[in-house]
Amino acid sequence: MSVIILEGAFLLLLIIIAIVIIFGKDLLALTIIYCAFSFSAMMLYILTGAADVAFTEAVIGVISTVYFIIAIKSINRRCK
Amino acid sequence: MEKKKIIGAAVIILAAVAAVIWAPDILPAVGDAESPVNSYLSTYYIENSLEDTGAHNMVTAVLADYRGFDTLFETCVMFLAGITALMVLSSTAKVDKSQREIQEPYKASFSGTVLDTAFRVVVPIIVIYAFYVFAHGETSLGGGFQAGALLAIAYMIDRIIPNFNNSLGNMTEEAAAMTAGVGVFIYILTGLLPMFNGGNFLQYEKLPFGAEHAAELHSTGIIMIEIGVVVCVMATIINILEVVLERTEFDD
Repeated sequence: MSVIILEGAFLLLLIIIAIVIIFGKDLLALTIIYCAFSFSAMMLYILTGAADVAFTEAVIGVISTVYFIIAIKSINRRCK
Repeated sequence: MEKKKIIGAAVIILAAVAAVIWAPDILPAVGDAESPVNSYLSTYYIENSLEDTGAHNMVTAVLADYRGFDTLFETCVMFLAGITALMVLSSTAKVDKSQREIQEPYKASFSGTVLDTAFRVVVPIIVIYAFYVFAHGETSLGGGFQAGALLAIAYMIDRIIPNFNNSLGNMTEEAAAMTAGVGVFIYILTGLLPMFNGGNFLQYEKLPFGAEHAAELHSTGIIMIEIGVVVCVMATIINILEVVLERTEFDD
């Protein structure tokens, strides 16, 4: 039962993060929040028992965050 | 015109949502022991994968052995993604890449004593861990993809923190794309080797190496394709990184 509650919490977190990313203005902050999206997805995979996929998700979360941050360094950090 | 597009998109999205809501009635429930997926294919994998492939990790057994073709084309997709990023993002202006070392630190680089010291400790551990993940992919978590991504992370840190002076080497994006191609080639070569010995494509027990048990040849085949996957994934991630870095230099 507690696993289901945890899963529900992480799924809710995924939805909240997605909505925040759509409406946020500060791109650097949003990139870090996107990293949290990756983290909750990883926790969901662990709860489902797919540790391999969780490992991949963790590694890819780091890589995509670095890509985004490099791209943001060359453009204006705040969007209109 | 604009309004029509929005209405069209809304109709498609609503149709997709309706399909998702309606679909669970005809699909088997999650974890249903009677569903076709769970009733014979999974049972076969669980009962026979160790005997068939010699891999303790069932995920590796399925990915690298039972579904070798699937992984082959996944590797090809990685390669294709790298090539596409190279074509779309790299500048057409001629840049002398041999002069890169003596350039000023990139605009997209991150410097500072804390970062420098922290990552000086972290990088060797990441590289060793990557090799551990690669070598233990058969028995524990991980495998080619994760190991390649970890190696790429080590390169990435080295590349964007200028105090390291690119001590892990300096790959141009073309060289990275070519290395990714080499990874795919290693994979396909592993698939072709059994064919010289009278087997089928990717039929590991016909690999032309002497071994007492077929499971040993399966392990050899899995290790060989994992090498291909490591090289391809690492080179593709480096390729995209280099293209993005060059783009940020190009824009200023």
